[in-house]
Amino acid sequence: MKKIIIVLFLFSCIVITFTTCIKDEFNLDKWNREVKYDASFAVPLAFGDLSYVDIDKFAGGIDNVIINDEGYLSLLYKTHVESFFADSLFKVGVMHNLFKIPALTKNTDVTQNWEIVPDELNGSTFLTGTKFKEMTLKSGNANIRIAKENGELLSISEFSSIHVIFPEIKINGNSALSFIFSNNIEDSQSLAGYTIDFSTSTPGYNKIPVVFHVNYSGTPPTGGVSIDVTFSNIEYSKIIGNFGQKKLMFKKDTIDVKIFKEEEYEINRYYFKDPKIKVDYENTFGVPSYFTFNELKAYTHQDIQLPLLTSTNPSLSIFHPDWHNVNYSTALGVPAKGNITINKENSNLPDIVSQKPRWIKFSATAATNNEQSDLASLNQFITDDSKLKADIEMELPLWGDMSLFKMKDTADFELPEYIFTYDPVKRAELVVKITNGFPAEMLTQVYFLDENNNILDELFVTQAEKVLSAAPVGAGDKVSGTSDKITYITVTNDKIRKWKTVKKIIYEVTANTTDVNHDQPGQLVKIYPENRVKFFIGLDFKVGIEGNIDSIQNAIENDTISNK
Amino acid sequence: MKIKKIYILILISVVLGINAKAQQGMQFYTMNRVFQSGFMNVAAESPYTGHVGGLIVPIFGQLPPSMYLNVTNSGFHWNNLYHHGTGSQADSLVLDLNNFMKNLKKAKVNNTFINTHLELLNIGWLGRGDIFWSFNLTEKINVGFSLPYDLFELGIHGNYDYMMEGKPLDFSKLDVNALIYTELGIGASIPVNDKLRIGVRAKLLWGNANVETNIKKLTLNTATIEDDYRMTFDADMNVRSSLPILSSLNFYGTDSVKAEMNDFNGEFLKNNILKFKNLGGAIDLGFQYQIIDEVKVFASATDLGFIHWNNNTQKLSSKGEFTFRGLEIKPIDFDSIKYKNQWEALAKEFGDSVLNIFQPELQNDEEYTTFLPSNIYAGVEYKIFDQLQVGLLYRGQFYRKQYLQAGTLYINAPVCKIVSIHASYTVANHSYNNIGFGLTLRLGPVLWYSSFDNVLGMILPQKARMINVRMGCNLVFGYNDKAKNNIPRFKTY
Repeated sequence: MKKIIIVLFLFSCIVITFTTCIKDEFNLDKWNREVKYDASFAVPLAFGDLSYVDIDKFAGGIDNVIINDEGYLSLLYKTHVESFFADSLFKVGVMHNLFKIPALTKNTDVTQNWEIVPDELNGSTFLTGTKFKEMTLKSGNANIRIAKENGELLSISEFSSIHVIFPEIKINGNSALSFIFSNNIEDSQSLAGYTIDFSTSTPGYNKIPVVFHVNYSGTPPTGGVSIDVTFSNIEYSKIIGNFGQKKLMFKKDTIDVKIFKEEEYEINRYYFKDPKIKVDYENTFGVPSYFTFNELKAYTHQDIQLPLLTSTNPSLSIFHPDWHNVNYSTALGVPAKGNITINKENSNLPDIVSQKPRWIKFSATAATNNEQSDLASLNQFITDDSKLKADIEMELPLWGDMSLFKMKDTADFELPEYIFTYDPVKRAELVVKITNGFPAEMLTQVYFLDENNNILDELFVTQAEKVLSAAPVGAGDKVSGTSDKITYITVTNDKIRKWKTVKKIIYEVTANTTDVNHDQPGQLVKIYPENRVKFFIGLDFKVGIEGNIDSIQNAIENDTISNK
Repeated sequence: MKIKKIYILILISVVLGINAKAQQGMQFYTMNRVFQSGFMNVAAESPYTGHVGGLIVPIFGQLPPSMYLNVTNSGFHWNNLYHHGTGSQADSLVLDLNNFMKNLKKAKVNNTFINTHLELLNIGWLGRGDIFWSFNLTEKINVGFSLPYDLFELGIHGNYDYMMEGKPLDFSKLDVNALIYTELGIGASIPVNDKLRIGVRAKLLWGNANVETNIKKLTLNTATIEDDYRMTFDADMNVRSSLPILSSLNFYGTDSVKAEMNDFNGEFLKNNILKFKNLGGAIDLGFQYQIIDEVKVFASATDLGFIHWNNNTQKLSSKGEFTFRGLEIKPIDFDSIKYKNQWEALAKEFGDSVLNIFQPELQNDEEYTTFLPSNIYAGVEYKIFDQLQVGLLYRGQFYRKQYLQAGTLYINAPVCKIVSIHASYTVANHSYNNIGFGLTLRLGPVLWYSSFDNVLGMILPQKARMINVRMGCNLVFGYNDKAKNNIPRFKTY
């Protein structure tokens, strides 16, 4: 029995000891809290592919960058102007006449001509001398009132009826406008859709024949009658004839040449070889038309007026007091188009452009007919929506050079919160790869600033790191290759410590076009759509954590608190 | 006799040389006094004329409950990650990531399996013609997930070394597989002649739930500086599931998933369980052949079958290639970039891009079929004398795209009619310290049994990659060690 007790006791001891040992193996409270972790990573951080679409900030928007007819790039700044509609320049308004018929003859037509004249008091704005051959009305009202010749009221019972007929005012080509008075002495009708044909009268314009016809029985009334005819609220859809010399007014406007917004950068000198101002117009007047710039003035960003833009070639007759003939429509519904170009061949535009013209302010006038026009012609036409419209564009082809272009910008910057005083990064190397296909060399620097704008560090240390060579330029001032560069920047713990208090960065670039002459135009370059700068930034780093996990956690927590 | 020993040694060498990964029941296979060993070889004969067991058998079904549990982790054991230090650190646990990674690298993939079988009812009886019939109703829960080494490599060592070697991190072996089903089996062990006995079991299966991933490709390649450290993800994968408990699953854009669950009530039972959806079938086959009185060979195949899932199925597919080049920036647009949040912007762009590329496509109610993880067994047994036999057993398992193997050397000692003792040594899961032990004890009609493939694992779980336990209690009737009705029978011990 004693042996059994001893055996059981020993067995129990073994079981208890063994169980305790197993428990120890899984008891993480016994972990010495030491960690050792080494990992190496290579990750892409950022990349870019900078092409002409990315110069939109300077150009003022991507819409301001175009590929020109020669295949390279132009900056384009434009505005759109147009004349008022014809129906506001050539108003007819009201037509009125009082016809007198001394004696009425039974069942006999009496014809009289009604001549149309301007009535400025009632809103007619067409010129004296305007010749109407045909007028189609989209609205209007015809009102006729009949009275005795001496002005007394006409008694209806004195006759059976009186007809007033306008045989050349027709609707749908055959139904003439007519009024019949029997029990009434006044009547109105709408003129919408009627066409007035003035051509059958003598001299073939401006006169409308009116026929009066009386039916009655018994003794005719003594004395004549007066017939008051008024066409009011006339709006036409088309007029054919001759409209004389009439000015078509434009509003004043301004072209904003955003490239010369100087706040964004500084520049020593630049040269655009072939700047242009183009006027692309569209004319729906069927009338000989003329165009002139009353004024075309350039102003700097500081609003200082530059010398007047003037013509240096007689072929450019676009500045007041000269008039430029513009094409005009020869068929209804078919606008005439054309353009006028102001360039280095016919103006002093290059001189103006070289002085940073931020604003181009202009006012323009157009006119119908001039002294040379055939005023006898009755085949001119206007419609109510006839207009002279023009796009006025300033084009700066990117062909030239640039010296010491400097730009800098500021951005907020903070390292991620998880980089703290406890620094697990044992090695870090930034790799910057750049392939420059632009005909421009660049000197770049990034400054790291604290919250008080004190410079704490610079990204690039050596001149070699800062400089990016320009792409070479070959025949036709076109880029003939690329300039490639890889820069390795070791990010030391010392740098990281500095960057931890960084709040801002300043990015500064100085650029010159390839082989630029800083004093005067020399080697020129053209910028094509395919020119681009590709860059890549990668990070290769090693994380090493070794030590007591609690100490590391404490360091991180303390950092978190201090950072907050 | 000498030649036999040489054969045995060769067999042992072959088995030990196998890159073994399999997990369960090697010890139990040879315990022929226990009715449930027939689950692995249906041809195995029983020394009893009748058995009853299972959880629904009153009293005896719970003493202890008939159950099977296997937990396996192929890549490492606890001490590979945490172990006691040396010298002044002898009393402390140290975290040993290098050792952990070394073991994982050897395994390439860390397979974790959790299998449990709840035996609801087992009945076996000796019928006419010496045919031993069996019936079982079992709930089987098999869960497995695989984590490829490269996933740990990325987290613990980073991507730099692979980049320099020019090879991608390959996560294609990432896998999740959960299979829960109910099995109703009827089997027969049939004597063909005095040497050969064959067996077959037909099984009707009801799938309860399934989740399985099918990853054809999932890689991350980091290019060298010449190609700007470009990180290319390439994925072709899907997840299929049949989850009756899940009422609906919807994706909203790239950042929101809404899942609704059914209430587990009578309506749920009516609509799911009682409709007998997710049906499948399987068969087990086996034989044993007595070459001479002392030597028999045997082989079997189990779970050759499938389940067709058609109840509340979901399929989530994703396919695409995505190259991450970093955050695209335009230096001239400095003021348009929120540099204070540049890191968040970088992470967001990365996340959004990946999600957009791998935007999963959800399909509901698409039926599919899964095959059971099938097993093949083969072995040879030598009788030294009536109370002692030794044998070799090989097992292969077709699990997903992998073929997992194990080899066992075993000893059976049917000491008397009441007690049998069993021991084994198994090579599996890159683990060579798996000593198994089994015991049956019969008191009257009550037979208790227990089996452990890795006894050391029970004693030293910190060094175990697998724990395999099968235990239970059966009622047995009619110890039958003699021929019945003049039909030749195998000798049982």
